[in-house]
Amino acid sequence: MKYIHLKQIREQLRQNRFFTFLSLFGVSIPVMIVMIMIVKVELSINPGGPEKDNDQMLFLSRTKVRMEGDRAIGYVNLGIIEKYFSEIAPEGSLAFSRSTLTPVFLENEVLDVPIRYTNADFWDIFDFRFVEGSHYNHEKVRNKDNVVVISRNLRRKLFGMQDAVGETMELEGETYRVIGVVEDVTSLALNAYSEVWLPYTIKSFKSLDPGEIAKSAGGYRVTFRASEDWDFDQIQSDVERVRSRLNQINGEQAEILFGGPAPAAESYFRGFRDPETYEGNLLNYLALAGKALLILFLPALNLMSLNLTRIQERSQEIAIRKAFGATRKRMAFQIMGENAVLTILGGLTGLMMAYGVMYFFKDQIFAGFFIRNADQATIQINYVAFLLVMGVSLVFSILSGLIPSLRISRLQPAYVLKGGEL
Amino acid sequence: MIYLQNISKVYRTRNIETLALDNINLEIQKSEFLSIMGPSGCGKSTMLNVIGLLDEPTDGKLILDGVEINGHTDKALAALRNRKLGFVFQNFHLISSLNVQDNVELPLLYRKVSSGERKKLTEEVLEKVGLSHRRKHFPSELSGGQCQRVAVARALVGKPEILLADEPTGNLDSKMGEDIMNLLASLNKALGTTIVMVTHDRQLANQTERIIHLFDGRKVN
Repeated sequence: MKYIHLKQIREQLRQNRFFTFLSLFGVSIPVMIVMIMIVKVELSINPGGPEKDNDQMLFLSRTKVRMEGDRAIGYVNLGIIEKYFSEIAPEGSLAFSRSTLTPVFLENEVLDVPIRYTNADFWDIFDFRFVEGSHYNHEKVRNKDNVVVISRNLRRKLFGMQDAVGETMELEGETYRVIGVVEDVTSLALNAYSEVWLPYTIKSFKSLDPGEIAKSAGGYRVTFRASEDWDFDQIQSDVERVRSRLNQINGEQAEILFGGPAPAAESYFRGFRDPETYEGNLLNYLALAGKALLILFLPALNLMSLNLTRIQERSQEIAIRKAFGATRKRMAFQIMGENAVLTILGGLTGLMMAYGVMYFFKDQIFAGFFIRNADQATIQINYVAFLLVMGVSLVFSILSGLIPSLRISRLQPAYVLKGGEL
Repeated sequence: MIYLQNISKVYRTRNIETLALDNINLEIQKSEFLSIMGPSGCGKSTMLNVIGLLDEPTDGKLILDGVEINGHTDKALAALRNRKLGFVFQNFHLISSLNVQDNVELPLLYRKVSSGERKKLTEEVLEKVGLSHRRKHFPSELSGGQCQRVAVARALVGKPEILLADEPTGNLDSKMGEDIMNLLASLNKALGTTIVMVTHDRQLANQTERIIHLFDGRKVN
């Protein structure tokens, strides 16, 4: 495209401000929505913070038990974890935790604070940054010590700007000693996020006999960390063997199923779904791509109708250009080139808008519905994805210029110069 | 230079058939300055459009500079229009979103000419029509006479052998009209450009070398 064409496009855009605004709006909003969608999926798959190395982890958070005429779906029960998973997992490879909300009384208010009961290896597997003190070890967990690790945010609310290690706090009528303070964690880190962490043994619901264990769902999320000696395949086959053992105990009475253990992406797509109905990652990615395509395609239809109107307005100009030597092909390329420039401008505007919206509405967009804390989530635009989105938008915009361009190719300059309509 | 042999043009709509040109035969010599006269609707502009390859004849043969125009592709017709022909229209038909310089260099965009060369040729032709000081202005900032001079500059920048002018003074007052007419006459003399001009104005037509009269699509004596 020659400089003069760009100059003319600039003039066209300047002179037809309403059209320019509509076109830019039509392109930038869908690009913004799709970019936010992509960032959200990426952040959900790898939320960073303590879970930043989750490509070495497998997650299991769904259990389904089928019984005659009945079924139960939930997290994993502690009996299975302690009796079976602890057996298969090498030292330091198994983290499990259960989270809930509990009221914490401050001077003038009551806060509903998320608390998480964990094992000791949880602290080795997830990469927390301690600003004070340290975490509880195996001994403290075994001894059911009333100790807690709290977030920097909660420390500020409870103790102001002072250090908190050694201080005490009340939780559900019990007194706990603070032994560590960690940097705040984004609530997108579903397996690690909380404001308070404490040994799971303090309040464990483990009174099931082996027969009950084999056919019960529970309340724990499980994370396996892979290593050279215990890779993903090995972990999955070991867990499958556990499942077979459980089903041997169940006999004809019941069947237990697990939604995993799965890598982060699959775990995200599985979400809270029934383990039996999971349709695979590919289909989920295709569904996402389908949504994105639809979002990008609808404005292209709008752009096409705008283009048709504009071509009508510009038919004289096109006829003049043809009179002075422009070919049909050249004119078609010019119209499509103008669309492409508008799309690129719209796309870049959309990208900036996506940044702005994600910055100002981080919690609303990324955090859970009830617990909103996405402050710690690091928003990173995936520029490869952006280029892909731009590519798709460009294809759509060029296609939207195709019909107007075809109409141009039929244009008889003499007819239009005499005042006829396209 | 230009031969029209038995040229007819029929406009057809669903119900009506209009004969715009009826068996026209005409030969125009190189460097000739010729005018076409006749009442409104007699086919003057249609004839000019056929010669200018802006419209196809329904019947007959058109030969431009020894090339018979028959079954040419869009690309070939565009190249002929670009190389051999220049147009001046009654309504100027300048592109409002381009300034004077960009309007004038339009025909050069459709051939392989460097931007430096384009600038030079544009400067030269603007100098000729006396508008080099207005090259950064937009058409909306110019008077009618100035617009038509820009249109003449645009028609001439590519050094065409044939200039087709459709009522070039029709929208101008008599003083401005005279200016344009003088400009065309001097170009015809200085460059040897063949000029075919459509006009209503007997006085203007008298300034050309030959007058062709049309009536109801036919050439009359």
